[in-house]
Amino acid sequence: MRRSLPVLIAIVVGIGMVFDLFLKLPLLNNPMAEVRNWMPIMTSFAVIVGCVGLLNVHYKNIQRKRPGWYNSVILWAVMLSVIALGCTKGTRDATYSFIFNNVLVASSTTLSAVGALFLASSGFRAFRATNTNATILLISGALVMLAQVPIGEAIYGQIPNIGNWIMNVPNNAGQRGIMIASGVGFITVCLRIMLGYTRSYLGGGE
Amino acid sequence: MNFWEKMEKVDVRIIFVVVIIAIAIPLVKPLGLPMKVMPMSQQVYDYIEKMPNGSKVFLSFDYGTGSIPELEPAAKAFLTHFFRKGFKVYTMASTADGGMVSQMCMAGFEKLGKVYDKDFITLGYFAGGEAGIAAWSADAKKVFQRDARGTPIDQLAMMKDIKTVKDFTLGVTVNSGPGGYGTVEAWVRQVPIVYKTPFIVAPGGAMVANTIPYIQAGQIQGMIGGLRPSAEYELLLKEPGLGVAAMDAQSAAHSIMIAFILLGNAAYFALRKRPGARQ
Amino acid sequence: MFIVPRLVTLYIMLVVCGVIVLQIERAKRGAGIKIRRIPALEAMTEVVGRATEMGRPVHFTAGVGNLTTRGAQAMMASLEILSYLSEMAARYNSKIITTVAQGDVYAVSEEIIKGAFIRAGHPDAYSPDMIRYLSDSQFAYAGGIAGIITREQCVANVMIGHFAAEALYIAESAHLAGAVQIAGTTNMYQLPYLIAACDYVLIGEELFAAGAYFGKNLVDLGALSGQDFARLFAVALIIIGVALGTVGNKWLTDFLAFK
Repeated sequence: MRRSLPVLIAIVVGIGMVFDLFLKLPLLNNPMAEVRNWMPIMTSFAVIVGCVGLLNVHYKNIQRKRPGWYNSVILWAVMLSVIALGCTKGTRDATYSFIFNNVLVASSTTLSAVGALFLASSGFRAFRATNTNATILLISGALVMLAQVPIGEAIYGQIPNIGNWIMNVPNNAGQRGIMIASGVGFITVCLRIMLGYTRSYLGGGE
Repeated sequence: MNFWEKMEKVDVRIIFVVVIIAIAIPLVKPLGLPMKVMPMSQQVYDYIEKMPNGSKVFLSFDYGTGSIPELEPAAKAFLTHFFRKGFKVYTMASTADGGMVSQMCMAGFEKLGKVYDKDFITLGYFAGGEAGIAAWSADAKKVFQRDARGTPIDQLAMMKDIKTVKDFTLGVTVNSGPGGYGTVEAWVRQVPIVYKTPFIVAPGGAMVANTIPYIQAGQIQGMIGGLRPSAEYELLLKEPGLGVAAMDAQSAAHSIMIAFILLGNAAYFALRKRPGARQ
Repeated sequence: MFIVPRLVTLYIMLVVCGVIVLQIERAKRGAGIKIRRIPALEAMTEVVGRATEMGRPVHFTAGVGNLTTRGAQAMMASLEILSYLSEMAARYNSKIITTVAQGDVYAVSEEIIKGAFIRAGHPDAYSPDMIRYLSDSQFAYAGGIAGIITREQCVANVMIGHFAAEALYIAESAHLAGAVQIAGTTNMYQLPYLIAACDYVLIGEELFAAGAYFGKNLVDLGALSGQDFARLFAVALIIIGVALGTVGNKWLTDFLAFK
């Protein structure tokens, strides 16, 4: 029962959702609309579950004095105080906005910017003209990069058009192929879940 | 180690420092390189220009705080254009950060004289990803019982005539991709394909390649993908902003990266040609 | 009763699903289905061997997705790989560290790793420390992984699942720490970065082949074979459409778009 009931729910709701797209049948459409309306609510609760899980993990770190446990204390203090501030004063409060702008935005954009540095180092390492395919990749990559910036058209006026052609024609063809193949892969995984062949979402096993 | 061996195995920290300096210089001393407007940005501008004044449009802030530098120029350019045309703007977000980002962005326009519940409303964050988009598209008031300011949805004048996504003339997503919940594909699957509502996307630069097939299939009406198209859009609006300001730095960054790649390849070929060298 | 403009999509869906189910049933009845060699999946065995020899752990992460909305299909497929990897690690007495970014993935990963150690006959070797919940914020999660790989001196980084912008951050950090890297995602935006930064990459639907590849599970084999037929069907439509379109006939395009 513990495993059969979730599988039965997955099968019924999965197949119902698929046919809801194609059939105008109130007996099907109304329950499925209700399921769709419940999804944002369930996902919101998943956020809460995630927060509680995070606090739990860090509480264990503090309790067992694992290396770096003081970071977990800071996490507890900051997380609870920001949650309390948001719940009591609202997200338009000046203090909440200050914390959001000067802590979250600043740190997120910094980490995002570090990605650019990693891109430079991985590009330096990886883009070697070792064979014909790699050379084509290198040349087309350089042209597309130059097409995205004004210095490209300062070097040669047609670079933006060449870059756009590369994106719209050969790249597009490859993207479509990958999209179709991935789409078929998605259908297969979903079909296996909807027909009960796969139960890995319950924690292992078929 | 000779010069080429050193070049092939250069310490990544040197690469990091050179890239940082190359980006910083144009930010301090802009070069002002000219830039032409490409057809895709022109297409988006023309499409919105042709829309009747007072149209109802929604804009979804589907990006987090990490993508603000790349995507906020596009979001602000769209909003500038919308308000210039007198559109009624409905904002929302499918990412938790996006809720706050939308409030911060709209606060700027409110300071410029735009009136809440007359020119725009901020609906806030909705959870559920594609399921949330599907639910909202079918019945907007079921997903948002209140707006981001806590006002019950039935008390908002701008929400009076909104039932489904068909009641909008245009939808826009400013999207950082799967880091958030509502991806470009999710919006395309649930809005233009199901309800035929015209749709424009503003994805991050890395997602442009994957979004082009939807434009060529006619499922979306245009795309402002990345920082350069955002800068072009700002130029078309004659309001150069953060997008244009970042172009010189982006030019420097791309040039430096290409220079390093060429240097690495020169070292690779120089070492390959040496007698007894590895192949 | 039918929403007429979507009928063509329904027919195609029924054909594709029918072919997949047919091949699954044929596989269950013993039809011999073979899979080509996938280097990235072959490398899994190598990395566990390397970890055993060097006495250092293998790091596995399934990315920032969850099991319901964000990249659910890729997450399910990556958990099959986790099952195989952890069973191998248990058999060869090497350590595995799994990092997760979502609560539901944490719970399922814990069950999978525990089950793998029990199946391998080493239930005592399992430790709760093998699964670490970091953060659902992508860069915080990536920073945590970078720290773990560096501090624990992981010999390999297996990152297969649903990744966003943090993919390159994780891959480069692991490279700087000297780890062998196997990556895979269905998120096409991140594939170029992973191909540039990692040693082995599973591209797109190769991710879904893992269950069949390792376990020789008949359902997985049949599903893979069914996918191939579905792709052949798509290729046939493309060829016919291109041929007709070249001579100016848009019948197939209009039929599929229901115009």
